[in-house]
Amino acid sequence: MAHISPDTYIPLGMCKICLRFFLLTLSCIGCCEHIGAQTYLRYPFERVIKKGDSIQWVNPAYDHSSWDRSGRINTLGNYWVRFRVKCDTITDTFRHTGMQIISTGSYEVYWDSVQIGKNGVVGKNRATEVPGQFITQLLVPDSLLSHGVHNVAFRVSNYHFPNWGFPTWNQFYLEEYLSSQQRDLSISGFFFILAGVYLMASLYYLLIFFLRKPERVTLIFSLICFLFFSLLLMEYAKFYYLYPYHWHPIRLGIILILHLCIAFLMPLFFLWYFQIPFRKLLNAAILLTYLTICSIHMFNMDLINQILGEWMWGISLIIVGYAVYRRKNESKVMLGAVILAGIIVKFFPGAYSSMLHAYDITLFIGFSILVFAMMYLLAQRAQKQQLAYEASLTLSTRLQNELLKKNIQPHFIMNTLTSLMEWIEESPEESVNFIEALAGEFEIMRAISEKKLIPLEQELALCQQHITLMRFRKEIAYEFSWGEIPPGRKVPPAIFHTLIENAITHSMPGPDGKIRMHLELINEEGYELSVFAKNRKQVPSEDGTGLKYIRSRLTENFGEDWKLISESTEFGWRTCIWTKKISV
Amino acid sequence: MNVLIVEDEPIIARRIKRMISNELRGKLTDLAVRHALSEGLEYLKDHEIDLLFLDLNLNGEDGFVLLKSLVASSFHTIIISAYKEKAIEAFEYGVLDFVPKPFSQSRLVQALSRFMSQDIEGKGSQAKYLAVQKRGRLILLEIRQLAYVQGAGIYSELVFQDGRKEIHNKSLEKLSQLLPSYFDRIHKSYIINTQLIQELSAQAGGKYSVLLKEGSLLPVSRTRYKALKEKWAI
Repeated sequence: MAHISPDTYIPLGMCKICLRFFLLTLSCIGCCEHIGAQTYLRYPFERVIKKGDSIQWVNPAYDHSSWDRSGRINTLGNYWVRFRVKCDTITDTFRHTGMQIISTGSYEVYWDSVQIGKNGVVGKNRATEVPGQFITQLLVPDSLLSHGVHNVAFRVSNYHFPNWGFPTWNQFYLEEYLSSQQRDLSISGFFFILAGVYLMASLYYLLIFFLRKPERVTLIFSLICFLFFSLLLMEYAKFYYLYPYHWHPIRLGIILILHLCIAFLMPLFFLWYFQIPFRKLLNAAILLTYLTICSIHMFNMDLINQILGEWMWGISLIIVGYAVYRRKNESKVMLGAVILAGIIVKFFPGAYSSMLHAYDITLFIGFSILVFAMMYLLAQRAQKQQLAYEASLTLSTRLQNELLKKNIQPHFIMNTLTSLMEWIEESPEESVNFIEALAGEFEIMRAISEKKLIPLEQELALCQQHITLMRFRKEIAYEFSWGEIPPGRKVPPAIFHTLIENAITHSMPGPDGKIRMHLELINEEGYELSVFAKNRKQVPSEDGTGLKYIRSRLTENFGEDWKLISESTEFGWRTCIWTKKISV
Repeated sequence: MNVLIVEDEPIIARRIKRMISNELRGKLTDLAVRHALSEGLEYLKDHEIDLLFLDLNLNGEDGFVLLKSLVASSFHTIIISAYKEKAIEAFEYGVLDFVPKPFSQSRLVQALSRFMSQDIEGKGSQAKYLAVQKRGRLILLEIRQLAYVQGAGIYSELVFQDGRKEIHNKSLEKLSQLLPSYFDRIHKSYIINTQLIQELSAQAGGKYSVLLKEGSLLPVSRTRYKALKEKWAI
């Protein structure tokens, strides 16, 4: 497991800088929109469509009252679209009147029967047609712009359009030549900056995921950022890359898939971040709901995206609301962000150009609020983890000290030395063995003092040394035995040593004059240390320093994944410890 | 002379016992060893002793609890402990000596000699309190507030500056070993707080007396009078 190091963290301060940058961007967009809103547009007031191809349909006098007024058809081939548009004082304000034309087919355009432009080559079949661009700009000659109603006819062929069942359609409006294109590009610029921010965030959290702890939420967040980056890129691609008309459904398809993924991942993030119960079941339910929405509103991409967005918002609101109810960390901040995002998307649809749907812009703003709030959540979480890590370091150091102190604490060392003095004065030969036992215990203690886990065999050797030493000191026949021990078992240092110290302190020899201790392994992860002796009247309290040390060691190694029982029995005392399985 | 050793380490208990036996030899009538607090208290119920050797950590039990209740008793206590930092506190409660572990024969002999020489008069004693048993409860009295002590056989009467009087179970001789150096024996029945001396006077007929600031007039023996006068240059 990679260690957490402080410099892999995104500090809260950086988050704040990002947020400020984001708000600045938004206000810039706001300014642009304000200027843009003053630009006049003139839409045609009538649009009719008819399949087929006839040069007579160019004639303004031709009666098209029987034509289809829906303005859309679902088949491939040749068709004509006729518009009627009014020129008046508004169009007079244009220095150069231009047409912005959106078309899902190659076309020729006739203004009152005069051909003023074409896009690609209209053909009789797929081979003869050359696909034109999806969006085009056209300058309308001033001579054609007299006040009154004008007929604008489009001769169209759409043989390259994907045959998926999408409707094909044409639209245009009159405006100052190229003005909307300039505006759209400048707005796109800001969103590309935003996209760049998301790309960086995505890469950053991906690195965090791989280099630090591989946490699910970090990966989800990285993915959301990347999808959001892609969505911005795809959404605004129409302004900086003039792609052929038949690519349009493909672009919309990609956008739909991106929307779907984001709408799925966003609640997923909240489910995992706030550790909501039944997460997996809820995931499946959410995905199923989305797929149902997609199948119901097939081919109405804008509507699907909108409904997906609304569902995503609603589901997120419920999840975060539940998290607030359960008093989860940072849930209130997130709830605030979700509500704010909802308000912005719902109540601030400004009047933008036809190509820049209000929904597009407010959606991205609302979305960004959510994403930044999520980033805040992750930063908070990282900070908490950092603190927890530092606390664990402190704990480890403290436990190390405690272990070292075991052998130099006065009660142990001074009593040992006093006993040793007596041994030296009374029976110098035996006292050599005493010193050897003492040295042996010191040696093992030194070797294990900096470790968090040691082989069980080493721990048992330590216990054995301690018992040998205590035999000299207490002149009691201590016996320590253990059952079969599979190789490779590891335990925190000096936990059984501590239990044996307790046994020696709090037990009196039984009728046979002995204090017997036996360690038995239970199953894969359990240990049972039994003491066969008479308990002293004052039994060790549950939270005696010895047990506290053992608990801290177990927590240090196994988190909350352990259990300890310490109780008196009819034979003496029994301590059971269960931990996770630890092998070499 | 009866001695009790309360020490949970058998080898150390044996060591203390050996050293005391060597040192006191014929003076010893009884020398008992107990390994736990409860056993020690049990023994004290039925036996009068003169000296107690007490370990402060007995198999995890706090010997201080015992110490606090024993300092009010008639016998002296010598602490033998691994916790040197407890020495000051122990002295404050009025133990005769504090022998840190590990200890040699000579250190133990030093403690014993302090007990044996009755005229040492608490030189350098750091005692701050005297513990008194009163209606079954132990109360600690500040030595600084003490005016004088009057001997009353095997007991002593403590007289404080505010006039309060308390009975202490230790004899005047034993208390003189515990009290700090500013206390002086002026008479076979009196120890006074020399910081309170107001006037030292000699009356006709070779009678001497001392007047303390709080108003007590106490007799001074002839031998003590000279020493006192020299010492305090009154």
